Amino acid sequence: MPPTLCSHCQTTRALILRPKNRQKLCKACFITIFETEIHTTITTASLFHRGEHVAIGASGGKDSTVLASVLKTLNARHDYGLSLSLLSIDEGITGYRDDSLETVKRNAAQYGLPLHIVSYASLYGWTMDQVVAQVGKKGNCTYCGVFRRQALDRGAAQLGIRHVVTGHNADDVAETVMMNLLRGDLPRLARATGIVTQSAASEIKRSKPLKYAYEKEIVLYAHHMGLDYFSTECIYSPEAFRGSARALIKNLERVRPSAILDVVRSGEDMASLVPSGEVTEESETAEGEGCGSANGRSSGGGGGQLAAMEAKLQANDEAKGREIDLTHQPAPPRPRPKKLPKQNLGNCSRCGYLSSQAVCKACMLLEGLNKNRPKMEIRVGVEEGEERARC
Amino acid sequence: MPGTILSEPGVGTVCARCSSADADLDVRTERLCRVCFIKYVSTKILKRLEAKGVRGAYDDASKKLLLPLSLGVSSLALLHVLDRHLQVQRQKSGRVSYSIHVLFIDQSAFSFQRESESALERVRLRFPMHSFSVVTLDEVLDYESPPLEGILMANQALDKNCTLSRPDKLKALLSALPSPTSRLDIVNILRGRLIAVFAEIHGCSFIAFGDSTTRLAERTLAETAKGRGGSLPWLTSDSMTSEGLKINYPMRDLLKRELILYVTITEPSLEPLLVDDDVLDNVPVSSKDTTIDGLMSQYFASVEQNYPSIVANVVRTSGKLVAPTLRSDSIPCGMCRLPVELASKAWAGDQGSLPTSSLEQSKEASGNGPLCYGCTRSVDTA
Repeated sequence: MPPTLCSHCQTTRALILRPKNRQKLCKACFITIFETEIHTTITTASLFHRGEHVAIGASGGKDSTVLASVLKTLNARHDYGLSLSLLSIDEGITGYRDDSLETVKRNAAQYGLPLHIVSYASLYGWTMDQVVAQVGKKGNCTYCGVFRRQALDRGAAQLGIRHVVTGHNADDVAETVMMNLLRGDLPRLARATGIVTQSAASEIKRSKPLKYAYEKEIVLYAHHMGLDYFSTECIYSPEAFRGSARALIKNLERVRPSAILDVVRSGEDMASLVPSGEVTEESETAEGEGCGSANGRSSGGGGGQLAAMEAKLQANDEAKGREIDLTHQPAPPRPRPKKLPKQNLGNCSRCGYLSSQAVCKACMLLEGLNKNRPKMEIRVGVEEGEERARC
Repeated sequence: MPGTILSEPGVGTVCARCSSADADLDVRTERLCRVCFIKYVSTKILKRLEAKGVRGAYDDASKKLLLPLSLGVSSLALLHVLDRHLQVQRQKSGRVSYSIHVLFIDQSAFSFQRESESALERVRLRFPMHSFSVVTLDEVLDYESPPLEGILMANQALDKNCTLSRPDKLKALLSALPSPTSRLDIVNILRGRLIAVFAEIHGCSFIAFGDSTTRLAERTLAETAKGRGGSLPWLTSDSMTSEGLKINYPMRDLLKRELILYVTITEPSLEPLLVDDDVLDNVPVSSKDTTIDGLMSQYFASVEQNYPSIVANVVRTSGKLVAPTLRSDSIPCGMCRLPVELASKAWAGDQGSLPTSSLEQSKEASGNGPLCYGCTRSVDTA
């Protein structure tokens, strides 16, 4: 049997079965097609403008590594006129982030891009290792999410950059759509599918150029381009809802490969059907938004989150029976559609970050954490060591 | 476990509602007696119908409700509740406030469906008050012209001059579809169209579907996965057909396991009338035969076990989505008759995934206008 030829160039032997559409391609054509599709995504959504400074949120994982590589290539090939840099967050997770940051440093050298690292330790005085030691593994993602949101903004601000691109891929977006349906979170459903998220809660624009790229193709691209990336998952991520949704997406992809994109499409369409009363501005609470590294853990370890939601919903149902409907009389017609009180964005009285509250979410969380920190060391007998307490 | 008969009802456990009879049923958070459980189910259904104006002035037997029966647990339970409701009305006043037309769609020639003739006969005998119709799925081709020829010709499955009988034509169409998921999807679309057309022709003003909470949650996620998320308000909520008939889901507050319990404890039992037609409940032997609908069905079967409120929450959430007001010039999809364009202009997800040549052909050939995203996906054979 003669070798199958690439269905694109018809000359070279096909080596790759494209996960998205089962097209048989040679290596060179796959690389070109993958890059061209991202270029089309960028131009269709007019993501960038000439001369723009763009920070690539880099974790050292496959998605952000591929994003950095592709953007660098496209910027040169299509003369976007962008000035790119890498922006990394050091959450302070030993055995995970310390290693992945080494990868980012190598990437920075390989691509010749400037790298800027902001750490939770320097911004908040707490590493995630310390947070977990204090609050336990349950709910630590809330801290990490809230901290990351600000950290990325602050990191970008330090660089004088107003646009951060992240490596969220089609699988991530599809998962988020399913997850928000399962959780009944319409505001997030309305927001999560947009390629650009820009909100009053942040001066920094964020976008996901890989939004339509399949995770499997990202891995293939990284492999065939010989990219250097780090593939360990965060050791603290037991997000049950995301895990459950992730397993579902993988199963769907097996049945019909296009399903991932179809879910993304559904998500975009549904976003336009969310009633305006349900659409809220993105708050600084990044809770539940996931961090893109909440990989693969299906509900196994994190069933507690599902169970907690179940218990809450049941309690709501029970309470409904005790409610008395006092507004049953038809209300007189309103002269004007009711205006929702506008969230007043101000600055956090403690750290100065944009916030709708007097004190921003990160400072609230920090206050809780700091309360339990020893204010001074209790010394027994002999004087030893230096002052360890921080706050 | 909720939704079951307690094997050893605790001594002195009285029904949480009537506080007199012994409770031997575990329902969500309460323990109920059988009488109160049956009341619980029928109240949930009738309240829904009342809210939509189906129950109303007496002596309006001209108000006809179409009940599509699949002989599964849900639609049988719905028929049983409504039948009892009408019987009570008739006893009390000699009049009824609506009448029921039961429709069974025979799709055995086109997709998996168990033998149902004898069960259907038993249903007729058990519910003699109502009119019954049985139609075969291919009848849809008399009323609708889904872009069949175009799709078939695009696949060289049909010779231009060849004339096929109606059932054969439908068979040819379905076999030209690329996967079991697509076939089941299109069968369901055609079934829905046939029900809508039938209801209009027979002067029904309402269509009451038997979908349970669980089924609606399955559909919400399955339709999302098939790219039909933008059509959810029409597929899982009380809405209107393109002919302007009202569609109702009166069982949307009842879990599947509650309905299973209902058909088991009703006396005389409804079980002999059941045909386990639910393809979706049978895990296919080969993964090749897995469909998206089947996958979601299995998924929610397990979620319903432990997290019934999450199932209900999915349905509540999709129920909050609002159907957009359509422009008068908007063109419905040539297949499902739902609106076509919803996505934002920035949508760039089609690259490399829809080699559109065959599809463009099919659109042109059908003369039926464009297809919506979900239908495009299902008929796309490339």
